[in-house]
Amino acid sequence: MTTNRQYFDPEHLVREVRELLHAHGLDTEIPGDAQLTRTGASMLLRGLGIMPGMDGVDALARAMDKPWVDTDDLLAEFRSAETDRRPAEGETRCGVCGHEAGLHAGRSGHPCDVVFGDSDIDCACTGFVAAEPIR
Amino acid sequence: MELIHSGKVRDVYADGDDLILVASDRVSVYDVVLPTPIPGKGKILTQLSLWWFDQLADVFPNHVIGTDVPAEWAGRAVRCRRLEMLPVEWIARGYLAGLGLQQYRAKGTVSGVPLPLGLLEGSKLPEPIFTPTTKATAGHDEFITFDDVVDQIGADTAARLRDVTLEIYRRGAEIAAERGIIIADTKLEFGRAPDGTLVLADEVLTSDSSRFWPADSWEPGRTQHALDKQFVRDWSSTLDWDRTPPGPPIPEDIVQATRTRYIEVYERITGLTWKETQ
Repeated sequence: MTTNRQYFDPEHLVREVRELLHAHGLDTEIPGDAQLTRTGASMLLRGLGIMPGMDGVDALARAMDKPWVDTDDLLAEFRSAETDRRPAEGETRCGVCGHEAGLHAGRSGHPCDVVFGDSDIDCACTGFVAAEPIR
Repeated sequence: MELIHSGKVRDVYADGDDLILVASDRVSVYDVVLPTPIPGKGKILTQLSLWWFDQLADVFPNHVIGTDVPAEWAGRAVRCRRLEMLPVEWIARGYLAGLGLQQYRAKGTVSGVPLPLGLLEGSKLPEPIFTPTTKATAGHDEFITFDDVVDQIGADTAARLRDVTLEIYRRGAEIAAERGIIIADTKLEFGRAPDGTLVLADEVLTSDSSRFWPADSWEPGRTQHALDKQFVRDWSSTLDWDRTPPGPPIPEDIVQATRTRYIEVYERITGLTWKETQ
């Protein structure tokens, strides 16, 4: 099926689809387990004869910014901590990073995710890099 | 030659259709780059990665074109093919550590692979397992199952690269074990060349992409010592530092001890003598 060697980044597709839906007056949100969204985008691309792919430089840049062992350790520490330190009801700041609840917009089960919203602020304490904000 | 990205520990340049990856002497701890470089680290890791690519050439094609780079980068830079990358982190784990340990404790599985009860931090797994994650440009990487990988890139490619990931890990771990080093796990990257060929990319089996532990002090049930970065980690753990940037400067004795350890890892794994002029 995908013999034409065309590629597209599934995350880019998700962003563009969200913008399209927003233009139609629809609010979208990515669930805490964003795998459904990623897999759906990849399958749509494959179904259209396009290979899911990432720009080589973007992928290398990502690897160069985050040595894998450090990231794996940090994420493990963070995951263990979030279980114990999820902000209690009524608290307005994350128990892990101190950011306002909701800052990280429904991604990856971060404690800040108690309220959905969008942000372009990186969270250095968790290695979190925010997505481009959806208008 | 155009600088297109300066990363925490490496930089990438474009030279026509090629990419040049330049490893710096910068060192990171807890994902924070420290202000003091480890002299020679970039060269040592580049040479180690090139050695591994050579050892693994019969397992899978790689992106290395050669070491024809400007003189000022000699020894610490690699000329590579520019690829379209697959949106998956290809991870093999032979021991329980890091995020694998955390998920095992929470679920008893890693990336959907069930593991026996009673394993401890640092335990050797019954056999190496494939534990892919997402490769997100935003947000955290998340464990995904092999079936998720199949959905994303197709069954044939997923199965082929899973098998290659495990084969590269097994081959590397076996070679290292003969030299008294445990490679606990490793992360690989794969892409496609313009002709559609699948290619192993980035770096391979370095201490930035793999956990190296000394075999003679391996003991399940505690945090294992990182073979090369442990001096920096131990020293940083004694500081009143919240592990956020900016990191503290590294004392000279720690710099030298760490540099010596990087050389030791290179020499033990490759069986070659490290030359300063390399």
